[in-house]
Amino acid sequence: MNKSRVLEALGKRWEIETRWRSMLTMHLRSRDSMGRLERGYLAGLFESREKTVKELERLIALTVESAKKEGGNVYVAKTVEDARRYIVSLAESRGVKCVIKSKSMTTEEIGLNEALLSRGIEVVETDLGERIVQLAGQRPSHIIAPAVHLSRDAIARLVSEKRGANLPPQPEAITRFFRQDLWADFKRAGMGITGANVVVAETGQAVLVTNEGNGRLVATMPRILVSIAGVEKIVETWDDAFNVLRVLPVSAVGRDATSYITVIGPRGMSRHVKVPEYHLVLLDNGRVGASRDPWLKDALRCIRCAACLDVCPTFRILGGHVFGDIYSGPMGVPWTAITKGIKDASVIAKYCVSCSLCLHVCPVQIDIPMTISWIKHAAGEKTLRERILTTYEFYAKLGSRLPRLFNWLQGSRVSRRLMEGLLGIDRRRLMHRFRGGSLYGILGERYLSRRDADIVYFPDTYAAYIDWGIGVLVVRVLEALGFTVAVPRTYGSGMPSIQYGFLSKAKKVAEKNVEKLKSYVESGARIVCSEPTAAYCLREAYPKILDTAASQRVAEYTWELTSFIAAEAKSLSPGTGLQSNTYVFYHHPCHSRLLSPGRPSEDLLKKVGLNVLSFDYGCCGIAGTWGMRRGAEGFLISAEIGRRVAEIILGTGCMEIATESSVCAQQLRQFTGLKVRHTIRYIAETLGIQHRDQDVLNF
Amino acid sequence: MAERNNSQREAKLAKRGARLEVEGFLERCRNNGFQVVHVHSVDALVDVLADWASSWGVRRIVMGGLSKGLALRIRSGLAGRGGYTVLEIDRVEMEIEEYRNNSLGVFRAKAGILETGGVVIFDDWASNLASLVPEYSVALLEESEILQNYRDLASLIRQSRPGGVAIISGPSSTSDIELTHVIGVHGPVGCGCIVAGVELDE
Repeated sequence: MNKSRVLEALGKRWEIETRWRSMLTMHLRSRDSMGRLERGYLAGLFESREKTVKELERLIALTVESAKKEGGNVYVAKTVEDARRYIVSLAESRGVKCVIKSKSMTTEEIGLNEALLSRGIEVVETDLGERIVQLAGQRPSHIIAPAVHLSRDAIARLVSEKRGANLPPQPEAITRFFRQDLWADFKRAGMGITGANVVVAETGQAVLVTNEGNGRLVATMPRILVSIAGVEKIVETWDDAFNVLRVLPVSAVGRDATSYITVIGPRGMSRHVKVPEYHLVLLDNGRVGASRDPWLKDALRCIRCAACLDVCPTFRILGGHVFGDIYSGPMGVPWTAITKGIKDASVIAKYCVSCSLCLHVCPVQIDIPMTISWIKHAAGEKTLRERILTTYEFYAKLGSRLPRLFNWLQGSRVSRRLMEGLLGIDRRRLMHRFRGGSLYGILGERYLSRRDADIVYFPDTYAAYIDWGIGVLVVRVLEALGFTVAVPRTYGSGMPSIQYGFLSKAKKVAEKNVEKLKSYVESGARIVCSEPTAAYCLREAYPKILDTAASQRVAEYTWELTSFIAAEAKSLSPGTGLQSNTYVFYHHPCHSRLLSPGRPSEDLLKKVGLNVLSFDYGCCGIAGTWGMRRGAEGFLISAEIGRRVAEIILGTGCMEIATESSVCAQQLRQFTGLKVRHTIRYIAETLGIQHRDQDVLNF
Repeated sequence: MAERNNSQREAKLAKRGARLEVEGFLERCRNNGFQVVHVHSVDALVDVLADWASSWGVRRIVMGGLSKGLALRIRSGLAGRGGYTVLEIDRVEMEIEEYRNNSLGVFRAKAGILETGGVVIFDDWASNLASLVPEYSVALLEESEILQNYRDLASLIRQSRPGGVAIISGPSSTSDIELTHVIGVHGPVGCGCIVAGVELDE
């Protein structure tokens, strides 16, 4: 992680504010619209993209054949140099002096603008955002909103200075200026270059999705037209193409359709209808190789909707100039690995906090967080502090044995400074207190070795060693609901190892836990986790790391606690202890969103008589041990997110927060100052087991 | 007798279905920023064109991709109202600047898409220009040309094998500056769609 770049980004207060607001707005629009989208399109899209990945070489050959049959020129570029050389030679040989471009990340990937400029050929970007960043001498900070990091004042100043205009800081006036200013370029340019959102193999045509109309003008006005696309953009048929075209605008900006979809080809609708010259450049640059790589191939399904960027907590704060290379944000990491290699990808991989929200919103279900973990693992560069953080469970066990010492150390300024220096734990981070003792010790042999259980409780590190009070409550609630519960001694889920890319270590932990749990599962018992991250590891991560039948079976039988109760305890009703006038804010942990469709916890809390409010701001920003890391390595970014989340929660007027994640509770307590309670406490109160404020240590 | 009643009922139902389809299509187009209207004669269509041109403050009408008969009827209809300059994009060499500003482009759409609220152009460079270059544009479409969804469009493309296609679902727009939605960037600032309950290309 480049600390100086992070600190520089954190200093740009306006940028953070506008990016946070914009990304949040785009995410909410997308989420709502995706909810209304006909499911058949999503299933069709997945199948179409899978077909592309599995049959990439066949589809490249089919595209070449179809495009040639239509009278076009097709060039398959193996490398970025090949692609650059082809386009630059074409422009030079045709005596082109000015090239107009519509937005294309592939041209960014091959460094086309620089190559054309170095040969004296002027390049004019025509997408408004791209033109702004071109004038600013920057690269796009977001793949579909390239200038989202710039304010209207900054843009007005920039355009006035670079284009000799005198513009007020009004988006309408700036847009109107570009309409006039770029019209002259559309008319004089000798060559147009477009990207492509889709390339249809059966007809060899490229398809462009735009809003501004610049893509259509680029495809219509110049005499020579070049479309460049990565080979993964190929789909076989028009049905496949429309699966992409239907989902893309919905997932990207929450709209059913963009203003324009333009199909380009050798027989396109050029203004020069009698003399069009069309070239289709298909770029490999690692894509064909990636289609055979077990970890990278799924990233080829990406349709570049950028939904993962909008929901990513660190991207919202740092933006694409820090958390990005050519391709930015979560999807930028595997894409950097594919196009530039693991080493370059590992530099930006460190900004991923493994919250998994990107997987949750991805319309083609790319497991971006696990792919990034693998990239971190494959890069092999680990810091001492990251190694220390993966031994979190060891410290928790120690803390459970020496609670008074650990609680004192965590409260002492001197020891916190020492911890910051030695362990890299930020001294400002609120830490959980230790209750002393472990859940296993408290419950005793009866629960540890019970074989007749229908429920196996997997407590993870917090409930096992930091505060067994939560664990005991979970067991009592499950028993009150009529289940027989076993609590075999298991290891912590190993999430820190997954998060920091220690996959060999994570694999060992996963093997041990699966070994322990599989016999219960074989006898029909279900596994219940009170910590959403633990359920995520068992359900999502372990099967990918281990790839065994046993891990798959354990995954199938794993439940997150509140989903399990919501599904199984249908007769649960408001208890006498709960006050109907209590307003509780429910914080939805990231891993829980992924595992439990719908809102089971909220529904459960409402069912037991509470007034529940919630808001989908995404990740609260702590992301396990990541938000505990010193300064720019974690805490400062985490605090930026935490403060914004707190503002939203406090704005609801709720006086307490319910959630299931122990680390989210840590973050929410620190930045809202409100009391935070595990959802199980409200259920326990309803069942008359214990008042929710009784015997609370942390949450 | 019973058979006749049945076929009448079926015809009624089909008519109602088609009307709902048109209404649904117009509603979605409206949501996308189109001005929309459903007409039942070419005269009414010309009236709408004149009204919209007047409300947008343009006096130059430029037609692209219309059948000769339709172009003639629009031209004569507008001539009757006076004050309009009517051009036709009929040759490649035509100076594009002539119809960039203060113009209303009128083009013939090949199809409409009910599901997303957009109109489609196939292989028609003149319609392409009339829908793209002028400050305002209006698509002309027959009721029977409304397709249900993209799947129907995929079938149509497979049958017709067009070299170029444009699907237009609203005026050109951007949200590139602080996510503020601004209408009118490089393409039309305003657009309309007229669905006709009569054949347009007789």
